[in-house]
Amino acid sequence: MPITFDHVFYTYSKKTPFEQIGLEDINISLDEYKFIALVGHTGSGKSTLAQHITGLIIPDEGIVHVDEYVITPQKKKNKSIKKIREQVGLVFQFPEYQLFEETVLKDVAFGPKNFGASEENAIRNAKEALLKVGLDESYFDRSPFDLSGGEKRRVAIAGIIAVHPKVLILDEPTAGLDPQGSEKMMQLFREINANGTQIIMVTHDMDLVLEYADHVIVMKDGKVAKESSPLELFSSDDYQDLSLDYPRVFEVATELIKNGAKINIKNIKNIETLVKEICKGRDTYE
Amino acid sequence: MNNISIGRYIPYNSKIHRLDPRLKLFAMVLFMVMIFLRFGGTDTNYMDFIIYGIIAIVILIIMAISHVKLSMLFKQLKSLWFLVLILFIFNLIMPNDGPYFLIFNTIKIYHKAIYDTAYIFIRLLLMISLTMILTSTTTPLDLTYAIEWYLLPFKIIKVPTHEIAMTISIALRFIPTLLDETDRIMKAQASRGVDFQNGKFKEKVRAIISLIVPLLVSAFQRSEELANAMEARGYNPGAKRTRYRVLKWKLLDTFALILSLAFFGLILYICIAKIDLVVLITSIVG
Repeated sequence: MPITFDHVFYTYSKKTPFEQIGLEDINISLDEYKFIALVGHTGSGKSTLAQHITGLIIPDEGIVHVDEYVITPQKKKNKSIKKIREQVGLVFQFPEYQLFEETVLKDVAFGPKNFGASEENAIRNAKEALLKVGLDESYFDRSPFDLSGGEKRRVAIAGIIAVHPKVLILDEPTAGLDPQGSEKMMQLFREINANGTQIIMVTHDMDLVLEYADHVIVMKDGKVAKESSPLELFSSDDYQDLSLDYPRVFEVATELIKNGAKINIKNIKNIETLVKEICKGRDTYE
Repeated sequence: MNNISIGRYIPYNSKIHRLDPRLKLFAMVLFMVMIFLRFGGTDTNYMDFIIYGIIAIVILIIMAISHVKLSMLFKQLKSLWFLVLILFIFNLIMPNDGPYFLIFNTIKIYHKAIYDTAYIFIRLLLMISLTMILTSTTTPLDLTYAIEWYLLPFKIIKVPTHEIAMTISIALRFIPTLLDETDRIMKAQASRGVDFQNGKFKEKVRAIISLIVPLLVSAFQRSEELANAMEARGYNPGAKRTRYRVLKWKLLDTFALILSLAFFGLILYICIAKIDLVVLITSIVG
């Protein structure tokens, strides 16, 4: 879905001693990419940027275009924000804190109902979404507060998916999960992505960026510091100036190349592909 | 949501900021008493306004020293105009006598109704600016220390002063945290289609429930975590303890105390002796 930022500025707590720059002159277009990663340090403006897309934050200056709708500083013109939110689902960091209903099913059906779905449709969508995130019928009538942390997060994510958004924004979706849990979570997003939902993911984990993203936006001090494909980003010379980590797989691969291994770095996405490349390199030796 | 700056501490390093919180609390009580005094005889009610003018000038000077901006006061006034309107209507309805003028030849507006409304409004205004100076120049923690110090004499009759002060300081400490949490949950529910501003009464109730339940859950969670953390560090409410930050009475405090007592004494004398400043000045000049 076409999402563009046109000279967007935003300042937190404007005209108070607590003033803080949120975004400064953002000009980006998120149209042709399927999986976008938003990276940067804490306070660099990546979450602020994500919240602008769904109109949770209204820009001080500039225009955000989402599909045919606009978000502008003139509040009267922003009549279609609810429609934007229906198309763009936003999963916050630690989304398990948004649960409040008596049962899991009711909580997941809350979103669709708010966007005008009938009771039946809402329940049907909710069941579908719950099965998608890997929670079967036995969970439907349980209280969301009795579930484990990972399960709660699944319910919360199901609550967003049930609305069938065209774009899904994820703010640190794997934060606080164990390695296995985050692996499963990413598997889920990969499936959703494959089914045609565009994903925008805010993250600190560069391994995830390398493995999943086809486009990276690096934020620094409220500005876009760099925009490219993951591979281009990690192999660029000025990457170190951004003071971000390298993906671990990428580090291993570059070390191997330095020591004479025949590896095509373009093929490396995760451990599996790294191993395949190493084997291929070994075969050519023999 | 980010506009909640009412009563928030503003970190500057002015003379007022550095005053002892005990003195600031005491001085505020003195000023409050001054505001509630009645001046002049029964027929010379302009004296009230002259004295309020004098107090207002003193408050303005203190505000200037302490970097509290008038614009912040006006921001708070926005929420006050409704109260003033109600006050005025009440004063209109109240049976009155004395001089009046007519609107539309039907409604009698007594001079006294306008006078009373202005009188109460000015009192409110002065009190709000006083509390604003106190809270924006004193950290909540310092304020609780001051309260604890004033409660000390009650320790003799077994009032748990330390516990009271501890409870107050924890409550104050968590106000900004809970506000942030509220903001976060509101945004999370907004992206699930909840509209907190518009909608029918039933929808609004649902919107509020979707905010309050998660907020309560997280508040309870936080308090449990805090209690555990305190216990893990061996907190014992009855124990004797020293303080990292000790309140120190300085020369500046003595000076400020004398100044405020002198001002209080002067105003009190004018009140008790029923001095009419206008008569006094004209007699001196003449």
